[in-house]
Amino acid sequence: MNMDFILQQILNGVSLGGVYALEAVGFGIIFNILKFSNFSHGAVLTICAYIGFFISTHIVSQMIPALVITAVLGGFIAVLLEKLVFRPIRIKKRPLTYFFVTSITVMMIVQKTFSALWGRYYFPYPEMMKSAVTSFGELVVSKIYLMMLAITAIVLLGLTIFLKKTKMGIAIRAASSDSWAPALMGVDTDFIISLTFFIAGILAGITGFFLGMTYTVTPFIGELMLKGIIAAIIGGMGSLGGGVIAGILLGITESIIVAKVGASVTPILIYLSIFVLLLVRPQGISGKLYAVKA
Amino acid sequence: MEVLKVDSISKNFGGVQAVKDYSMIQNDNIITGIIGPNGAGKTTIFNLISGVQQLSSGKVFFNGNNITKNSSFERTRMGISRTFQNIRLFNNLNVIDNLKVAYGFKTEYNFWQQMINSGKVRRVEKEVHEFAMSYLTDFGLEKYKNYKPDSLAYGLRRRLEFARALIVNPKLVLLDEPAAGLNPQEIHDLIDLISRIQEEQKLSIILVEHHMELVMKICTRIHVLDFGQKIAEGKPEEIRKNEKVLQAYLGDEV
Repeated sequence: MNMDFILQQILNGVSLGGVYALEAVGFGIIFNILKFSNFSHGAVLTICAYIGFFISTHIVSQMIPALVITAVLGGFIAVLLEKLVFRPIRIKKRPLTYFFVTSITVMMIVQKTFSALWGRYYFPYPEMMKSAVTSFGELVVSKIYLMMLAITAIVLLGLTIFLKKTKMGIAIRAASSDSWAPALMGVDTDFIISLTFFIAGILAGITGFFLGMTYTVTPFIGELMLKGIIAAIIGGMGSLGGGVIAGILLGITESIIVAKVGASVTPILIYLSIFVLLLVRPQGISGKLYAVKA
Repeated sequence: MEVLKVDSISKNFGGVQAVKDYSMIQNDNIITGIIGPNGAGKTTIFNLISGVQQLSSGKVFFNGNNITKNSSFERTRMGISRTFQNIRLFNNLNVIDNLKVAYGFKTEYNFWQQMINSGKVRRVEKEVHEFAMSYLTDFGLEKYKNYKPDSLAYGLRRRLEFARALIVNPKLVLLDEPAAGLNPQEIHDLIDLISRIQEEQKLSIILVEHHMELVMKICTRIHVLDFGQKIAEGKPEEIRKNEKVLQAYLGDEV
């Protein structure tokens, strides 16, 4: 392996890993508050990949406005899901398994609906967003990857400031450590949970758009969120920062293995390594172990 | 002036009656103590007043308004704040953010202003930060502002929780065993602290406590509970001599 090869794969891997990081954070932020694995995140991601395609082909073809509209719509879709599906379970104080199973069901419904309606067609995003590369010496980078990387960095930075500095961000973090005490500090927990879903939905919207742009839009695009879940687990459930680091590491590892061994074997190796990781270090990068989860 | 009126409230858990026909009237600017053996229903009463649990029957009035149907966050915003028997600080937030959570509903900016991080949001957050710092200084916690609560000594955690309950300028404060787990010196300091704050802010305080010296020293009135029912009510010196109270605490042979 020469140096250029590794650098090239790291560059590719970082932008891919950034997308996994966004997924991991969107998944993790819900897990932190409600303590269940939210597979419906993949459903929002799928819907947004289609929305992003529709908007960028029919409404605005510039990347940034199309992305912003998709992301905001993703936020609202997630809030709608929360109010229609998850809130009733929460009000009835059902066990966590109910949330978990329901979220998988939502994912399946979306996947099957899109398969039935548009499963036969391909939806490539407008070409102008795809081509164009820049080179740094020997290294060749797709401009779109650089763009994705920059947007990912800005979004994650913005989210960090939001969670650290603002009252609603602080309330989200408080609700992540204690489910009912924040109400006794005057925090409207229902609102905070909706807000968390809104943020997760925005992240799902961005991820859906990016994945749709990188690959082709299919009903099964939501399955790519598995990488995000893996990143969240490697990062240590409950730690958003850990998820980001793990997401990027996963992206780099994947790029290197794909380039060395081939694309078909890579997922098998990645998934196998998860088994090993969970055996060796179940607490993930951040080192926190959660007792309750579904 | 009457702050809180609890009108014959009851709470059943399955077949167990945790609180039975309990009533109380709490005026402003006084401290009331609720005492009783373990399992007498003291914390349940706090949970019913603060809205953590729903009543089985009865009514709760705050400042003359019926708040029986209000959720706990609404009651807090009206001016009832509380602490917890086993401290419930947010251990993933640092000390100053624990205060900011409580102060959140007092700050006036909405969701959309926050999303665009408007100048107003930054200005308000700066004010909140300074206010929270002044509170920490007041409670002698300023040098721990960036610590996580679970790294503080137990007594400091209690003090932080007390500060968090007071920062919103409540009308009524419920203190659930404020002296639990403290050493004699810390209890002594706590007595001073509660008396000082109560006087300064003309607060109305209800506290549940096992530490008799503290209760007798700072409470104007005392309620005694046994098996979910009030068995006595009065001034500290009356309670000290009450037959029923002695029986509940010491058993039938007395």
